[in-house]
Amino acid sequence: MAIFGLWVINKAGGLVYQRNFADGLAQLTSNEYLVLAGTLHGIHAITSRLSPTASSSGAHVIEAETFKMTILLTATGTKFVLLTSLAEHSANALLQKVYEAYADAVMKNPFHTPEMPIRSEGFDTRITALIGTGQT
Amino acid sequence: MSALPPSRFSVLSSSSAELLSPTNSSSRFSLTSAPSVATATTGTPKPLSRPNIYDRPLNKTRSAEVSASAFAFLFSEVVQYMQKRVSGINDLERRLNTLGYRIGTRVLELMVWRTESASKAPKREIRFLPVIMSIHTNVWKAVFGKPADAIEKSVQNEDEYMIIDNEPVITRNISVPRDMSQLSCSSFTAGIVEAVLDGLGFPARVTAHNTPVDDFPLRNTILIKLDKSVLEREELFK
Amino acid sequence: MSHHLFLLSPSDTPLYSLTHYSAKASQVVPSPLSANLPSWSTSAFAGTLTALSGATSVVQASSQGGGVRMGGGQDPHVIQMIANASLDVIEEVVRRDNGMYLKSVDRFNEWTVSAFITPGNMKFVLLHETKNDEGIRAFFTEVWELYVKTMVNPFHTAHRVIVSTVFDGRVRASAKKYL
Repeated sequence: MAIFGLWVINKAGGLVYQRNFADGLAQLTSNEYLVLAGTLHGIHAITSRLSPTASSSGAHVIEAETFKMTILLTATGTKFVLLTSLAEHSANALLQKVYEAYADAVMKNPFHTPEMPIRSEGFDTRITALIGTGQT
Repeated sequence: MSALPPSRFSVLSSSSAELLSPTNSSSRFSLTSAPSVATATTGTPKPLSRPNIYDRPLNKTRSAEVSASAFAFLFSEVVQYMQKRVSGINDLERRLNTLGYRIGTRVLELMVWRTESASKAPKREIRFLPVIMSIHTNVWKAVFGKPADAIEKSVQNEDEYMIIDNEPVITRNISVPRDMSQLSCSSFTAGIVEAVLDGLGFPARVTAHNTPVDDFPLRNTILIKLDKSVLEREELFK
Repeated sequence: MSHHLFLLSPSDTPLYSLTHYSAKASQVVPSPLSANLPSWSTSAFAGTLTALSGATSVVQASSQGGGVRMGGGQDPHVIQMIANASLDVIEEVVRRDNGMYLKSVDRFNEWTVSAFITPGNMKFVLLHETKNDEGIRAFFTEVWELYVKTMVNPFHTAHRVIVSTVFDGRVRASAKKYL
């Protein structure tokens, strides 16, 4: 079981935080990550309208053969995406903790501008403490 | 209602009655809003349900706590607001200090009132060492809910004292960017300390400095540089 | 019987003052002497001179009569001067005495000066003619509480003149009760 990476996508579809943990997935260039995040944002928007009942929070888990991505959508439209191995069960709980760290270390930091890339040492530290090398 | 609007209405509009009708649109709305406020206050006076500040007991909120999150958001906005209006890091620190000073004068009066007002002969502190001990424990507890971690006296300069907080509450969520690494938002705390010292008659220059150690990356030192008069006064007690 | 209260900031700026005529005094009768005095003798200058010289004639006449007393130690500016003069003594005592209530720290002619120093170095100065230690202590304690409440008001700036009418009303009520 492994955690490969974490993305934070702002409500406009921009990638504001991207970090890799365990080895296992191919490394992409930062530009490719940006495109991927934007695409995911679009797909997510469409999936949220597919629901036969009134409202839906959109795609929650997207699975591939060797990994899966778990998406947490917050009330303000920010998305947290966790890339993990298929067998990883703690993804949802972990995303909640990431959200908490984001609320504390990013949103309460006077030097962070909302919707802009996250450059907060405090957030990095909290994420390191949560995920570490990505081996669970 | 003031006599001014109708005369203008008759010029602008063919029918002033139409403008004054309650079904009218936004232009009328903005004009009548002022008198309606006046009638609300002077007309039927509603009894104020909120107690006057002089009616509220000072001890009621003694153990009350403020949400750390609410404070963190407020303080973050304060820093952002100031940052737009200052010329540099020193200016920002000075402003935070001033803001803290205003808190400090109040904290001092309120804190001592709460401990001393019940006494027949209330006391003030007039020696320096008890004062700094009291800042370390009582002021910190009153403001942050925990005592500070250490007091140190400078080895080189006998007029310098330090109060150390390993995990300052107010900067818990703040990550200062690298290009501003000199900045310490604990200048706010320094202002509180300065006000308390000043109030008790120990004028000093108080500044905040980041002194991170491995276990406590946010560790902060409040440096107190006492005025010469304080040392002279202390001499007299010996 | 009158009392004069001054609240002074750490830099000795007066922030609030109150003159209280005690109800506990003997019946108030307008003094025929002061009423009949020619205007020059009740002028501010004459009053200051009498007060400074410690002359007894006007003071004695008025202390028996009570009521509208002019000249002598009862002129507002003389009162202010006495209060201000006592600050030096208070300043001296504050440095070595750790009590907040300093009873009878100074005396000038018929006036006794008592003071109360808050931890923030606000000085409450009271001029009184009779000994009333307990009453004054209780009065100061109430004024202190009212002052702290004024301080915690976010719309009040420290060391600025206190304009609250509620504060004024409460201090008056307290003076009535204890002085």
